[in-house]
Amino acid sequence: MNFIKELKANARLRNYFNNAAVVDLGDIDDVRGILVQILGVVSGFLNPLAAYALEQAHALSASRKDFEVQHLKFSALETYIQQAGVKLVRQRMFVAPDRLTNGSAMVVDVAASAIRQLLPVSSKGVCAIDLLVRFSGGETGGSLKAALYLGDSAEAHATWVIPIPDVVGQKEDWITLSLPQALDGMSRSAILHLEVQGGSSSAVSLGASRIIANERYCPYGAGSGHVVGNRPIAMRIWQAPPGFITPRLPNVVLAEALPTAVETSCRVPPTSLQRVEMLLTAAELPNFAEVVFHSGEEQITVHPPQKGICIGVLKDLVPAAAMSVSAKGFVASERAQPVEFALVVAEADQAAGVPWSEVPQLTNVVDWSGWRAVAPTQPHQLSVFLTPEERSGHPPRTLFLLTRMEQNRSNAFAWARFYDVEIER
Amino acid sequence: MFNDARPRGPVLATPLAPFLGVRQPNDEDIEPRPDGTVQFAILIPVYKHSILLIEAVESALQQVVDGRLAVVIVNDGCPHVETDQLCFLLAQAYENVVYLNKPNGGPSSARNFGIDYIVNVYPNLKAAFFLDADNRLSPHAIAHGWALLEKHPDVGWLFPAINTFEVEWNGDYSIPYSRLLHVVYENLSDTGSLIRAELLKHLRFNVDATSGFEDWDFWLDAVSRGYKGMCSDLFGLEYRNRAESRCKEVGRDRTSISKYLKDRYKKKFTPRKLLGYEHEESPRYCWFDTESMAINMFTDPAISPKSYVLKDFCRNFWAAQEEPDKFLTPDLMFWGSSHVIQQLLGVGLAHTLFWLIERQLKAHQFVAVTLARNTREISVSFRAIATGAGLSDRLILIAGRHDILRSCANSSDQGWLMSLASQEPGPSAMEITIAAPVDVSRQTQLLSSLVGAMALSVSHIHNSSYRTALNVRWAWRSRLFPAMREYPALLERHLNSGTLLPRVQEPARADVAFVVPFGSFGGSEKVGYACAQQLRRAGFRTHLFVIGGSGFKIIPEFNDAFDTVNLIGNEVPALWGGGSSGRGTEFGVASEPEMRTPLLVGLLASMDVVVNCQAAPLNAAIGELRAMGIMTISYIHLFDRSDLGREVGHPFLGLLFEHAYDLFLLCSHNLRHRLYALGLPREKMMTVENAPSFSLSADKLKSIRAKRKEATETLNVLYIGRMDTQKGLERIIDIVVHCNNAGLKANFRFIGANLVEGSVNTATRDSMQRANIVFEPPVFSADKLGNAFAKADVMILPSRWEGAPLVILEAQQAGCIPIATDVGAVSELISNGKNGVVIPNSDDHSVVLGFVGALAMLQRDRDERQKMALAAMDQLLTISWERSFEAFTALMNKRFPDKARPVSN
Repeated sequence: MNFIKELKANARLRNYFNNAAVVDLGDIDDVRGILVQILGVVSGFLNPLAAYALEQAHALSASRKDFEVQHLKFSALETYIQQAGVKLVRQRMFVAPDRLTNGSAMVVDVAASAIRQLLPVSSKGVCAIDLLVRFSGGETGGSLKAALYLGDSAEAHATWVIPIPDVVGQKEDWITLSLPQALDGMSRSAILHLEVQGGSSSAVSLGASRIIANERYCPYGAGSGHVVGNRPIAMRIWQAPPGFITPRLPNVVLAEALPTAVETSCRVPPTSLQRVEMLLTAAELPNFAEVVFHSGEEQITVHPPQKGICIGVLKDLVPAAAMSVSAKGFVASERAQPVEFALVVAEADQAAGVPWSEVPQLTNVVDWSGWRAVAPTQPHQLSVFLTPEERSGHPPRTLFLLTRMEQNRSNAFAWARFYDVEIER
Repeated sequence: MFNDARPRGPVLATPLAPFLGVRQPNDEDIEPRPDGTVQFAILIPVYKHSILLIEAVESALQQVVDGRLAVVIVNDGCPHVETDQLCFLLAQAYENVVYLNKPNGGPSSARNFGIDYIVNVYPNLKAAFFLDADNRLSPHAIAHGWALLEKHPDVGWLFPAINTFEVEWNGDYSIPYSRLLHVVYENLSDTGSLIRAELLKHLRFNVDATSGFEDWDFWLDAVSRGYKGMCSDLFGLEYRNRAESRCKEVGRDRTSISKYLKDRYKKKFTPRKLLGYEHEESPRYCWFDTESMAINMFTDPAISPKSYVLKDFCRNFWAAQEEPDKFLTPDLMFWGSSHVIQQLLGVGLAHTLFWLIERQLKAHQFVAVTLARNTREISVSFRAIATGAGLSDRLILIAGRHDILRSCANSSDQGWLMSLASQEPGPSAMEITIAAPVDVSRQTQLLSSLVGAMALSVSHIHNSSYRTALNVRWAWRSRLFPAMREYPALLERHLNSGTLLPRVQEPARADVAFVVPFGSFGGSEKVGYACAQQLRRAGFRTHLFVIGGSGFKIIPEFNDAFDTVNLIGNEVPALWGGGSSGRGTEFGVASEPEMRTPLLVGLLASMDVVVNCQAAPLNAAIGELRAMGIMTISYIHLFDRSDLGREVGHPFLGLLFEHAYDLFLLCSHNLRHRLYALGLPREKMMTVENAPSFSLSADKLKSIRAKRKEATETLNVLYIGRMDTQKGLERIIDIVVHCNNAGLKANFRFIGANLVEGSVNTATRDSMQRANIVFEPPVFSADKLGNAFAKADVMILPSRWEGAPLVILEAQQAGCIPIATDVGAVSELISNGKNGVVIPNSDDHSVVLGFVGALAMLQRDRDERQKMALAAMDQLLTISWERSFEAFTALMNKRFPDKARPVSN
């Protein structure tokens, strides 16, 4: 038996002979007999392995089919949710910034080296994190790099780079670190890593909340582990069903004072809609009188004229911090021709100089949705997205509801209506 | 669930051919060669998790770690052939996978098998992880864990917070690691932990623990060897949790398992050891030093405390409100100067005082302590304050409870607290006065300043910015563990005791407790003190526990007998009697509240030896103490008598509780023979002959000896002792009367008192008066006693029953001839006609006549008197406590070798 032991002792071969054993072939008369015996033993050895492998293959196939069914269901569900516009993202936790009496936020400096902050939630379902960032003027360039680490992983799950803007004085705003889909898998602790790359480290500070007694929950130096101050970083954490693609834009600035309701947008209530008026000032506007609020249905009719544009006006409806305004356009009668709808957000309640037909060139217009043709009985969503420059530091703006007949067709039965007006902040 | 599309042809044969079954070790196996390249190992025992095993192994193989890692699978004789198949294939496919196969022996034996392998084969192993076959690891788990172990060299193993899947649950284990909690409350570490290789050289799983919790057993073994763990809540162990599992199965048998572990480790986790953990991890006392302004936390006041400045304490205080499982504010808070502690330690009263305060704070909101100087006695008294009877003007400390002070700290107005300094105090408070031979002048403070200091620190706590800190629960996992300030209560529940005396320091030899019912001058107490004195001189730490009366009368001859004096205060157990009866003697058992068994257990649990010096209620607690590993000794002196003359008392109690005692110390051979006849095994008894409770100087002896050679005509007769039936007071009166009637030239002197006020009836008092018998007050000092005996020629002791009376030896020492009735061990102390006279004990008249005859003889025959006196003095030259306790001291030295100077083999 020595040669077996030698085989096992051989470092390269021992794995192959670890379970080796000697088989007694019994009495053999000739060479052919040996071969037959050996083949018999080998087939006996391979048979059960083949059976095992076949079992594995069937199991794998069943698993694959099952996965396919589940995957299709999940994908269909996700598509349905996206198309239905259901708001899945909810606020999970808000760690409010602490403020001085003059309103300015307490801050934590993102100093020369990186800092880290343990999040107060488990990772599962997290889809975005809002941070209150203060950029201070001075040197330009550089960026704020944020990274999210999960559990014991040494590699970041996601990273974001926010360019440091060129500001005069200080600019403070919320930024969103958004994930393409909500985190799934095991619930794990999550750590946010923040550092300034390039530029001046003093250019960036983060809003801090009230002091907390347990210093483990305060930011700490990523390299040293030393605690930085006694205030955790202020943040708002958003959640969605784990694994779902989350429809949030990255680096979107949010206003701070959100309502406590879980929805991110605000549907304009009927009491605001009923204030709608018809715009009569432009010389080109035909004196067409049909702008009506239907209280029972919470819809606004803006009946287009045969030629020209009909405009409904909701004064001062759009707050300065609004991110977007949307509404659905709908032609209530199936006998009507297609009607074109548009939403316009403007500074003043009247545009001067340029006809309303040339909306983009109107000087007081902030932004608009563009003309959208809507076929009868088929609602269509119109949206106006406001850029950060368009949002900050302005008084409330006016929403204009425009309709016109497509290609000047007959306006008979053109019962054009706006409803589900929503403002997202 | 799925469309089964398998072909319908002939199915290949299963099960396997016998050739490839579950492989057993055979002669062709070789010893594995050491592999010095492997630094980390993941050990996976498998039994019946044939399919899930692949996930565990995959997660092990996916580890990203700096250093070579081996995956060692141990098949614990799984009957599923596919387990063997899978393991075999994995071992063939991956160079760093090792497959070990063994007969079934349970998870402990499987893990041990694996540990033996990795310890022997991987000499450079740094750490190993035990991964159950149905769990998984995240890819960076080992790297993360090892980085933490490198950063904390004092940590032996790293364990994760538990995050489960299938049935989701997340438990917060990230409390500060506590050995105390790990022993007395719950297993803090899952088996799935990263362990340093150093531990694996010494630790193995208990293969007898087949009912579960073998991992708890393993960790307790690690703790007992001085290791400790640490939790990382980032560590990526994925724990598969199902509705039914082995873990759920063993959870049903938890009570018996906890008891099993408690018994298994009782010698390693003694009460004192556990108190030591408490002192380090969750001390029960918080002391605000009014001089240095530091805040100290401790359990044992004799050991260095943890110190904090007020700012950090305030932060800790409010953090503990939010996360009491992670931060500690002790339950009991004190204000005073730390010099007070030092002084009380100096007179051996510190531990008992803290214990008394802790007891009183259970019923009162505050406790204040005053100190009074008394050179003759150590005592404690209690006074509850009331309107018009406030606290004393000067105190040494004030103590309060955390819950009361927390509610004060939530208010900006401390008027309620400050009213403690007035005569109309708002809070309820108890004032304890300690009388002791201490200098009080420098240690006391004005009541107003002490209360002011307390109110000021509470104000600081209130004004701390952390009071209005962020009120958000940051830890997202479920809280599992009790508040840290409850750990002392958990310890007491584990030990089944009341409040523990806070002793932590390990002695060089042992801590020996002497428990007496009264701290007075009785013979049985003095013998106990003498024993303590000898043991202390041999290097033991000795402690007196007085469980009755109010204090301890200081005897100068035994000044060096005790390291500490401990008083039970106002919660005195029933010192005699009880609800049960045996051999005609009443006794109490642990379940009777009057016995105060939990109180006594708590008081004595930190001892190594308990000597019961005839304290009857201690018998009810002795079994519990012995079960903790404490050596128990009963020191018995005599048979008492009932009113009808029936023998009762401590010897019978000793017999009834014999099973719970390791040793019986007896003061005479007579007592030993009696108890042997009653059924006490010989080897459980040791006779310790009594000696005088004081000694006379050589000059004094010389002077007395010279005086004895000049016997006077008038016989000076002395009686010294109690005035009670036992001592034969009625016989004494009759002896005096007969001697007077006979015209005997004798002067009688009586010294003593009655132990119990009013025990002498009116008729006896009248008889004493008629016989002109006046008792002088008792004397206690050696000088006065020596003088009394030196002046007397004869001492009479007509007792009805006795043990081995010290007074006989003390008289003989001074050449004072004892005449005593033959009761107890008297005849062992007196050789009749040589160094004293023994009168047979019978009816009172015969005894009286015997005494009168002996007195007459000694008065008449001066030569005989001289001869007996000198013979008595010579006899006593050979008797001493040191000699008497020699054998006992040797036994104790052998049982408790000197740890400071260990004896080498």
